[in-house]
Amino acid sequence: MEPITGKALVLAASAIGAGLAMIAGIGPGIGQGYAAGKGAEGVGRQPEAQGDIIRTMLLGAAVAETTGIYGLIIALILLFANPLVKLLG
Amino acid sequence: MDNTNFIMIFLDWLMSFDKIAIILAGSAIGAGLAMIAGIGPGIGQGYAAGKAAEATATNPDSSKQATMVMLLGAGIAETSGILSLVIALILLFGNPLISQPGDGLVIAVSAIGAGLAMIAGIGPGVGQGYAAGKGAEATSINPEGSRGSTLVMLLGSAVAQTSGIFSMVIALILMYANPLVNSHGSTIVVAASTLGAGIAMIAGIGPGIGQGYAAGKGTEAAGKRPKYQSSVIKTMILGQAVAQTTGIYALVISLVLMFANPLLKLL
Repeated sequence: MEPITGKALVLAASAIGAGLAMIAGIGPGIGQGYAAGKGAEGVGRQPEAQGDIIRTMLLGAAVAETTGIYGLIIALILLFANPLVKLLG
Repeated sequence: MDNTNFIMIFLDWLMSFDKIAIILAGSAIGAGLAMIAGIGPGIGQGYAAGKAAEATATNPDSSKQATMVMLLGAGIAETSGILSLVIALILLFGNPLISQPGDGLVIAVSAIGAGLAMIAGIGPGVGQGYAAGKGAEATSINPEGSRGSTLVMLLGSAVAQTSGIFSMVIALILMYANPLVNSHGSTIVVAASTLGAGIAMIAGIGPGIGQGYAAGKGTEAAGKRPKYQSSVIKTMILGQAVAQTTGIYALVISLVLMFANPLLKLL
């Protein structure tokens, strides 16, 4: 195995960091699933309001998605536009 | 390397890198760890969305109003996610650790500790989202009492943010003014103390969820019986104060580890 350089260490850690960031996805998954369940329940109870219910559900689910997207952005930055590697000089 | 101790081998290997490489590697891991907080707002806001959908079915006439309350609460529940994002972006783009004098390993661990501390944001996110859902529900059940119930929601959610703020403070201390960086103790003890200071703050998940639950139940009660709003608020705040205790314990331990570490004196 060739010797590991400082750059390789930063890149390896970036890979770990990118993976860790994605753990955030647990939240939106649980939350949006709950929203979907409640939306289905609502449509069952009040079928005429289906359009309104789905709109409200999707609006809220979009808000719940944000932190998942933040995690994704940080992971993508670490992978494709890593500012840390440039700092190595 | 004839030392067979795994930790020693690992540290010898790690210390063979440039100081800056170690710090940057730690920063990358710290940035990723901080983002785990996003679990909280995701769960909480999803719950709020579900409750708002349910509220629309219960009382279609007040759908708009309930949705507004839900969005207001979901906005608050986003706070911890944003705070974590800010810490991660600072570590990536405005890293204050690079130029710090001191032991490279301790500085790198400071970045990881800051990221770990921010995980506490899961708590406020879940709790405030629950309160937001209850706010939407209360509005659909009693649209006239919406002002009162929303007020209780905002008040309770503000309290639920406390542990998130504590974590943010610890993360910022670790990044900008970690007193352990210039400590002269054994490196492994100093580095572990720094890591411990960050890990301790994860306890904030509990108070955040609990206080948010209290906020949600307070909102529900105030919506049903507006007459008793002040007693509801009193009880809610009292209970939330008790729920904060473990978060304060964690803060104290974290501060002791950084500023008055008894372990370093034992060496």
